[in-house]
Amino acid sequence: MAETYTAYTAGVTFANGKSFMGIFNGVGSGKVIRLYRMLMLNNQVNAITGDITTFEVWTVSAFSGGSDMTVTKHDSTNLAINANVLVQYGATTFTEVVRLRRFVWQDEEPASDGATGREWECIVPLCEVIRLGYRDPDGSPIVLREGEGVHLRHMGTMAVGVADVSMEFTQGTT
Amino acid sequence: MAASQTWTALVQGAAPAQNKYMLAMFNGAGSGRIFRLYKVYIVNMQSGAVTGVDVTFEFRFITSMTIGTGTVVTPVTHDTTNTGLPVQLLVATTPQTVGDGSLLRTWHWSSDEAAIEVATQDEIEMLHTYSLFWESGAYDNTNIQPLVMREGEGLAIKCTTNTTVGAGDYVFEFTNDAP
Repeated sequence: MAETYTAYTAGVTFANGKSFMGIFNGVGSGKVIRLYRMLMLNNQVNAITGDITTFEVWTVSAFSGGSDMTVTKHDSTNLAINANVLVQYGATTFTEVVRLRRFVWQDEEPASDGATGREWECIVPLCEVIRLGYRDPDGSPIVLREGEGVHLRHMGTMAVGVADVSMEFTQGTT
Repeated sequence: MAASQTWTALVQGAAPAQNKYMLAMFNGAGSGRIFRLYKVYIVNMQSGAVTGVDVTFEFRFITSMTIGTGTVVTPVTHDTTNTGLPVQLLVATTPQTVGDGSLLRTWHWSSDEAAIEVATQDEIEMLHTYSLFWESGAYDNTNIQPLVMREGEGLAIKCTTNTTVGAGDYVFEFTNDAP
């Protein structure tokens, strides 16, 4: 069983074209990263004037300039994440290669007793943006070798509201 | 391969409260065991009419715990021939003291009552499939680790919203393993 990690950041603020989360396996790590899941949750309480916006998941060949996400080991005896592996939100420099996924997002605070998309975005099983190779031994997660990464980017111009972001990945030598 | 000895810890119909640990488990020193958490559920069990609010829950590792004035939760074994749990394993709701560790996830939960012939978030939270707020290393995927509690480590669901409205069932599904 591969050493597994959860990266999590609460309250990432919206901004035009912002990288909301990403993981990049830098050259020299000696590691292979496998990304199994990306989640995005509409965990905001402050009233905003929101709108529909869009996100895209891209593979990247360069990625830097952001803030580190908190990475938690699933087992405290796991190795630390290699220093050449960047797990960040808000990266300012990135080179996108291939688009993997697009989705629409309702950036609006959820309401108790609501039944709109903004409330569905609080239901964790419904918020998996990427779920690859999970519960499917025949499928592959996204494999990030040295010099490879993946990030989630906000494609719209919304500059209000926040969301929580999370990734589940493994780190191995092969 | 024989299945690991599996248990369910269940807290029924608990009301939220600010900084209340709805369900917490801690592997105390000397247990000689490792506990692996695979699934976490919060199920909306509020049936009487209330004025619900958006409740924020945190799910995190914890570094210490004493039950004290809290209420012991006795996990249910999935097989009556399973070995008994060590006394060093603490499972409780509202434990008296808890040391917070790394935050794994936060989510919003509607504490309003579920109603007949309605399909809002409150009703969706009745369904176990959608009440599964954490799952890792479960079942079909042997590449992903569950959350591992070695001696001196634990996990907890913590409410951070200042409200006492609503009632939920809180569930941990975990295994008891030799080191």
